Amino acid sequence: MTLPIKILLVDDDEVSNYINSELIENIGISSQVKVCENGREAIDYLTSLETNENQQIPQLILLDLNMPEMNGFGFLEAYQDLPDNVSADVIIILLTTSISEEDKEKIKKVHNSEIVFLEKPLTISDLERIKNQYFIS
Amino acid sequence: MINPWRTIIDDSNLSTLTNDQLFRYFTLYFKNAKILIQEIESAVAIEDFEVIRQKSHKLKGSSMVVGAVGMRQAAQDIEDIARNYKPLGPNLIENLQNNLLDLQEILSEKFKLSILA
Repeated sequence: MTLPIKILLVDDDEVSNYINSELIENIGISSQVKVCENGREAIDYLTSLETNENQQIPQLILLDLNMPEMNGFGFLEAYQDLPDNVSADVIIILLTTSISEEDKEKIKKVHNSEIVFLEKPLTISDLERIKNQYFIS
Repeated sequence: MINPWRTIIDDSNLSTLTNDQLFRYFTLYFKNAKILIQEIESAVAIEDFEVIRQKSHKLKGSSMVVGAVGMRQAAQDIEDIARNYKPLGPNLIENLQNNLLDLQEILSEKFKLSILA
């Protein structure tokens, strides 16, 4: 994959979204950061892409766990039911304040693919690592 | 010896930011933190533990993003208590408010940022 990539941030915290969007754009990984404030909004957004040819599917999703309406677990569960054309080859990274072993087990139960975990705050070195590991071939 | 301000703010991720960025980030942070503290106070009054937990968790998250370690800890303390459905004493909310004032002071003294809290 080549840069810039399309990124979806799913977090209910306005401060995190604002700072992370700017960090991502400043480092040049992406100039297209879409923000959804909870899992439901993100699922609705991804579903809408299925029929909208002008919209590009995100290649990376940075997902918070604790959110109102639909949390990260709910998102991952609903994500499994999305059609392949909006969910295949998408890398999902959980960006959260803390993650317990119990949460990790819960994620395994609702989501088949491997999930990467990152602790907040998202840093420049985190983004460099993600870029080098997944998006520079 | 630990400098007192380091118990309020961890500036390790802030060093690459411009003054303009710091000002915008902290202005947004303070605006949101004040709203969240008010929401936590209201939820404490009616003992709505789920709302207390959600709001304190959110405040913890945004505090981590700006390196406000004192606020992060104060929010974490409230989240932990709410998670166990235990009543919160007034000192915990006071602790949040005091931490926010300390942060405002440190930003003004150390970073020359005048944020209206």
